[in-house]
This record gives sequence, structure tokens and C-alpha cells, in this order.
Amino acid sequence: MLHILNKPPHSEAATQMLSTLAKGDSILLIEDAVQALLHADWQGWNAATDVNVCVLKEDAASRGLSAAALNGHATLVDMEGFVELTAQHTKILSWY
Amino acid sequence: MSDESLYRYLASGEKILLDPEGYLVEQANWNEGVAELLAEDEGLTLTEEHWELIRVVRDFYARYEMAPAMRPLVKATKQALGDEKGRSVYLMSLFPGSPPKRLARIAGLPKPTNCL
Amino acid sequence: MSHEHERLVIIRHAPYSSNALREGLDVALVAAAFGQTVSLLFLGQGVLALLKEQVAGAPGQKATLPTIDMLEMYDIDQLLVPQSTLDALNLQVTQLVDGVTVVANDTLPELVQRHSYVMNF
Repeated sequence: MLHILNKPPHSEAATQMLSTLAKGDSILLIEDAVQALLHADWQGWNAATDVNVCVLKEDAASRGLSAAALNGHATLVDMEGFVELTAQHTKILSWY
Repeated sequence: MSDESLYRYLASGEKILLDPEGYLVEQANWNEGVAELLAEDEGLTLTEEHWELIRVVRDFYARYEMAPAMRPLVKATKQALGDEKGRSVYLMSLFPGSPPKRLARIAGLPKPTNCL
Repeated sequence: MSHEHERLVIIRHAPYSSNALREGLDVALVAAAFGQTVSLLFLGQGVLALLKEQVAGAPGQKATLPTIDMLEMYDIDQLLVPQSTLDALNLQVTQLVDGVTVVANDTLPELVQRHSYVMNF
């Protein structure tokens, strides 16, 4: 399952997404969700041993958060990576 | 679909307007006489068996504010009229083609949503 | 219990807040009308759609309760609500329509995993 989140890390949508996460899932943070880069203690990162968390590079860069991304443990993906992720997963759930 | 020329009047002196798919434009225009005319317009003559089903869909609409698709129509018919009549073949025999649509038209309801 | 090819529709928005609730219910009804098995999960604000004392009232908009009541006519009888949602909104299950199943929070991952089709509204 690929979860795509476009709301801030402490939004209702994010909390709801976190409540449904299962081992082996992937998360892709896009738009406002890239703000998670500012919160090292975000629950999504802590789940990251079992969950693959990716951040859309373009959205992080446009918000001035690229440096934060490099300091953290996020995997940055570009648009091609986004497409690849969606192709890798049969089930995709958008949290918006 | 909003092309006025596709709207027409039901064959009666009262100038009751039908939409391009044959549904009443004003639900308030419906009465049993209008139902007879609507049925006639579809080439059907209403018997008591037809009326039973018209009442089933009107009750359904009164309760749920939507006209039923086939599956819930069968279920509602079963609940109201029993297992013998609560079957799609029975509905098809009285309202051939698409029973949910024909019934909704004749019962003066809007087009059923979620329905082919 | 196999849930292969079963659909889970997640409802997360309150009545009248947007048309998300309406769209979610429509999708569930369409799938059910075509004979698919559909379960509904009401997360967060979405649970407000299940309050049994709702009356028609929001001006110019269709009321929600008749549609919720209609679900059983489409054989949609799995109305799931997590305990955390009830807690977060200070709601008791007795305030909701009949037929709601309260599920433990830690069952959500498995619930989402076992359905072949999951849609978020």
C-alpha cells in the first residue's frame, strides 16, 4: 500500500493515515506534507523502520526545505520517482 | 441536455412537462391520473399489480429521498409484497426493460441515481 | 473471512462541510448496486454522518440520514467506526444510528490491508 499525504504532518488527514499504516507500506509526502521535514519527532518518521517514507523533492525545494531533507532520514524522490512508486504499488490511498 | 427543445409535454390538456428522458419536471404534478398517462406514454396499461409496485417505489422515495436502483427495488418489493413478487423477473415482466427507471418515471420520481 | 475484491470506502468528512461525504456514499451505492460487497469506515469527522438525531435542515441541501438509512437496502451493513473516533468527538455509540460496529484502533491497518479496493473520501 502506498499512502500519499498532501496535508501537514499534524493534520487530521495525517493522523488518520498514521492510524492505518501497516508494516511494508510506503508513504509519499507531497505538497504541505513535506513540512514533516521540520518535525524530527513526527510519528511517521518513527514508523520508518517498517515503512518506507519518501518526500517529493520538488515540493520540498519549492518550500525551502531541501536542506532539512538532507539532514534527516527522508528519501527524496523526483517526479519520475513518484511515478515509479505508484507503479510499484497495486493499492494507493490518498490522504487529502 | 438543457436544450429546451428536448423537453415535451405529456399528452394531456394540462400541459405537464417531461424532461428529455421522460421524467416529470415538476414532481408535484403527479397524481394517479398522471401516472396512467405516463404509463400509456410508455405503452403500458396499469393493473393492480403495477400499482402495488408504484406504491413500493413511492414509499421508498418518501423514506430515503432517492428512487431505488434494481437491487434495493427488489429488496423493498420483497419486504412489502413478499418473496414471490420480490424478484427481478417479476419486476421485468411488469415493467420490461429497466424496471427502476420505468417505475420512477410512472411514479413521478426523479431518475434513480446509481442505476444503469 | 476473505475480503478479496471487497471494497472499503473511508468517509472522513462531515455532512455539509464539502461534497466529499456525498461522493463517498454515492460511490458505495454505485458499487453495491452492481453487486459488489462494500464496507464503510467512518474516520474522524465522517462519523457525524451517523448521528441519529440529524434532521433535514441545512438550507438547500439533501439530508444525510435518509441515505444512511438506505444503505441497508443496498446490502451495505458494515458501518465501522474506530473507538478513537468516538473518543475524539466525545460521542457515545448510542448517539449513532443502529447497526454501527465499533472497531478497536489497532485493527485499522489490517482492515485497510485486507480489502482489495480502498477509497478515501
